[in-house]
Amino acid sequence: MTAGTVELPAEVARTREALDALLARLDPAGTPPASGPGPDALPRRPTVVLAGAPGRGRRELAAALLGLDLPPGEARLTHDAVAVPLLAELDLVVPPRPGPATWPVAGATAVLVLVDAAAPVGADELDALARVADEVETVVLALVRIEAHRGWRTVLDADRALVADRVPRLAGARWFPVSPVLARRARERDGPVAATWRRHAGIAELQRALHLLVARRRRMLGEANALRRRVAALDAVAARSDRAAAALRDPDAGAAPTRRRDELVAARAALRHVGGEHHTRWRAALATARVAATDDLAGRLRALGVRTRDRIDGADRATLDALPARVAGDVEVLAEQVVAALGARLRALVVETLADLVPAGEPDLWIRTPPTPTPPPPRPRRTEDRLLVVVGASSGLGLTRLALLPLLAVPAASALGVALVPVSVGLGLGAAGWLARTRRLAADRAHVRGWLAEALAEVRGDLDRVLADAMIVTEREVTLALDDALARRAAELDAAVHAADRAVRADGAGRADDARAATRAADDARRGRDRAEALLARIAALRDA
Amino acid sequence: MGPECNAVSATCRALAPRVALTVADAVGAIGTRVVDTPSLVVTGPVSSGKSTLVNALVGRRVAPTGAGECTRLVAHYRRGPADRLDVVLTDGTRRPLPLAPGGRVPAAVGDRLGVDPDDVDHLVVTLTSAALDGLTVVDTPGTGTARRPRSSTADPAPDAAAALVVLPATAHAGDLDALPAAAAHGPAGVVAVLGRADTVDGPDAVAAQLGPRLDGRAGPVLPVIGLLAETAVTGALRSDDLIALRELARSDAATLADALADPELFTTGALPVPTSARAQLVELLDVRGVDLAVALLRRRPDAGLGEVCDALLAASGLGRLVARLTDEIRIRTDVLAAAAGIRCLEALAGPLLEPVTDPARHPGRDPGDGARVRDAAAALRRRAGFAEHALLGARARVHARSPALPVELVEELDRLTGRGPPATRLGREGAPAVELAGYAARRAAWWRSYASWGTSRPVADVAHVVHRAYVGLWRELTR
Repeated sequence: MTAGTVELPAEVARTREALDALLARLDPAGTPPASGPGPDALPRRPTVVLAGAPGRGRRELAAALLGLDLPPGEARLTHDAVAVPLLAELDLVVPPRPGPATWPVAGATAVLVLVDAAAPVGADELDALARVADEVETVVLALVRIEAHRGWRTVLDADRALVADRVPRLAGARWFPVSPVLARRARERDGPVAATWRRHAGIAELQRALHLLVARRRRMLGEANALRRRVAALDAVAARSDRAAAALRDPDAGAAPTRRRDELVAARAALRHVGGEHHTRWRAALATARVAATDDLAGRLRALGVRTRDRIDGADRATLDALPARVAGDVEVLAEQVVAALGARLRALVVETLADLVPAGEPDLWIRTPPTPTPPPPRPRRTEDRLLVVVGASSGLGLTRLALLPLLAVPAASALGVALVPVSVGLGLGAAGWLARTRRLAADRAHVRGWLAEALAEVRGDLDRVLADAMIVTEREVTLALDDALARRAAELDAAVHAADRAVRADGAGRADDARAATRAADDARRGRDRAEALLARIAALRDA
Repeated sequence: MGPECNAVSATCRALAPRVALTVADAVGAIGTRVVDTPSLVVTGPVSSGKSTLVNALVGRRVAPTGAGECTRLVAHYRRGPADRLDVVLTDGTRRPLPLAPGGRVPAAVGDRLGVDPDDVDHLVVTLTSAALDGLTVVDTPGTGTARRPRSSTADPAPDAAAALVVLPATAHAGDLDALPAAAAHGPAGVVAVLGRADTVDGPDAVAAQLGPRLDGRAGPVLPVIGLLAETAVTGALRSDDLIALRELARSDAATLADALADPELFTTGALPVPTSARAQLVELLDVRGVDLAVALLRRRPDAGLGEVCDALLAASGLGRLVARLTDEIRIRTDVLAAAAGIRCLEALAGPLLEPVTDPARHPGRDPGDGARVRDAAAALRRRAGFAEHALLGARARVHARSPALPVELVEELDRLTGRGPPATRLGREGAPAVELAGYAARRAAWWRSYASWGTSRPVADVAHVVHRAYVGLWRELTR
């Protein structure tokens, strides 16, 4: 024996202890593989466990290996039960299988895996093989039923490639193409045919290999299995730590606080820019509304004038007499319509301008649509009253009040308590009307036409003033409200940005630390794994020598 | 097309305008597909002998066969005026490609076309074979392979009306879950075979055990020797081979029997025929086929090529397979294709019924669409014609002995599942309609009591189906 061989057991023991310590440190919660069979917990006799998917014929192969028919139902085949040379130094075990994808290999010194020559090894089979290879260092592969499948060499090549791909450690594993059926038939025959069959069945080579591998080197294989289990555990730790580190470094995973901060900063910057923009937009909108309202008023008055002139042209005396009252009623309706349209326009403007400032989802304390004030119940009025209203109202009652009623629904105006604009809508309709009464009809008509033009011009002037006043008030109040909202929003955002900044700093530091720790753990686990793998490679070299 | 398929098609036409545009496209495609030529998907684990069987069924050695994983692409075999091969790429374009010498589908199709093999979606092989009349055959790569990632194994033929499931002797119930919808939703419209019966000891017993082991989900399993069927049907056996077989038949029987224990021993052993000829025989017949042919030639030394092929064909079990395909699939394509269409509708409704968590990812998704598609499918399932589908499934289960019924009840079920007039299906030929109706009513009552009288759940399920079938007959007779 070389010096290396002598030192190996001691080094293996040292490595095993070091790996146990490493595992205890890296994975304190995991089940320590140290509780698995170490050299002391090894079964007294080396054990070869047969594994494979259902229907591969494990018992048939066991029978072929032993060279006789098996006693039925026995899972562990020992020398005491079956006195054959192979069993003198090892036990064969065919454990019952709980499910098609589960291959129990507990207590195995080595595993003999059966693969069918009918088809390349399947995905489920490969998964099961990979699990077995994590538990047991020495895996021997047998390709069975080669007597039935003439293409078994093609299948074997495919199997080798698939196993090398999925379980790289077994890339160089030995494969034994065998035929338990031919071996059985050979037992029932003698002569040269039996010898040919036996040779072709390939069982003898498998027997020899198992004997050399297992019986002679069982202590080493036991140690190797113990190391292999630790390697698998360390691999799992390394993979887990890698995943954890990757998750911690992942910009997406750690991005929640950072992203929130960035959003807030962007919103703050936008606000500065948007503040001015809001005012500009608001003024432009207001100007547009003013032009539209003036146009609206002019259009309606023109229509009223045309309508009334037509009426004058075709009017008799009585109609002419009633005309001023009628015009007064028309003007009242018209004023109502114009102001209602303006009110709706201003309301929409205010809501749009201010709503824009307070993003959806944020608590909204400022904008509240007030309940529309119910107009006072209409008082039945006589013509005289109406005329009175139209003619002489200079006290802020009457038409002005009536006209401004829709404006009360403008949230800003109402919330801030807009004072009603005192406007006098003196139309002088009454006096002119009385005059008309005393003239002759034709002259009357001319007169009434003149009166009408004058009266409507006056109405127009009054209503223009009403509109202008409403505009001025609305603009002032809304501008103040806008400034207030912008300031408040800016203060809120500043506070939020500060909070987010603090959160990002705290989070980033903690995550970086965690990621470094996880990477360190993965590196440690991999170093331990590499050390064990190197040792296992030496053991394997010695085993296969 | 029959009434059931037309009903599905009409439902799809009515449904399409009532759902979102993308869903409407899918619904329209289902409605069109259901009245198109129905297809039979050939499926099963890797190396179970699917392509060999496809060759035997279409009567040509066109699909590549051999040890290991041969079929990597889905191939549709359909009837056409001339033999031709089209390669359909994933973007939907079709590229013609000449068939290899001998009429085979060439290997490495992608390389020949100068495209990435991953860009090839499937092959369309048009053949003049009469066997493809009215039924497209879809050959698929084996399931459970380790070569492709599990996630990428989409259903190769989601709209197939029927399935031919080719199984190895070691198949278990879990294998069926990986199969296409047509095979997994059996046993109605599914014919299962043990594809390489010559490689198994006692194939009949193994096949008989497979049915119950698969919980009756694939129906009874028929042992078939695909290789013999292929060789016998496609005329691959030549006169040279016959001469070699005759030579072997004249040689020492015991020596030959010993050599036939293993294909390699047969090829390399000391026999009076050249090694190359023996290797050729193994390729065409395997040792079991050589044994059969030699046995025939020993009995009748003057037998010709045709007789040898007939004997091989009889031993292959292809005749029984074709008979089952005719009885269980060909004459029932209407109800099977309709069932496949309904299955597609249900598959379409499934994801639509899930609540939308991210509206941006599913633009234009109407939450009512899923319910509309599901309800349409449910209404189709309630049609009277659909009872035949349930009856077919029940019969397949009973024949797979999962559950097992007394033999006289199995006979009654067979008779009831037949395609004749009511008198034949009731076993009362020549009886007047009134008597038939009375008999149907009595049997309906009997099966109902059989279903409830302390029987196991699987038996009760079958009995309920039979009961409903009798009720349907009674309605038909008293209308």
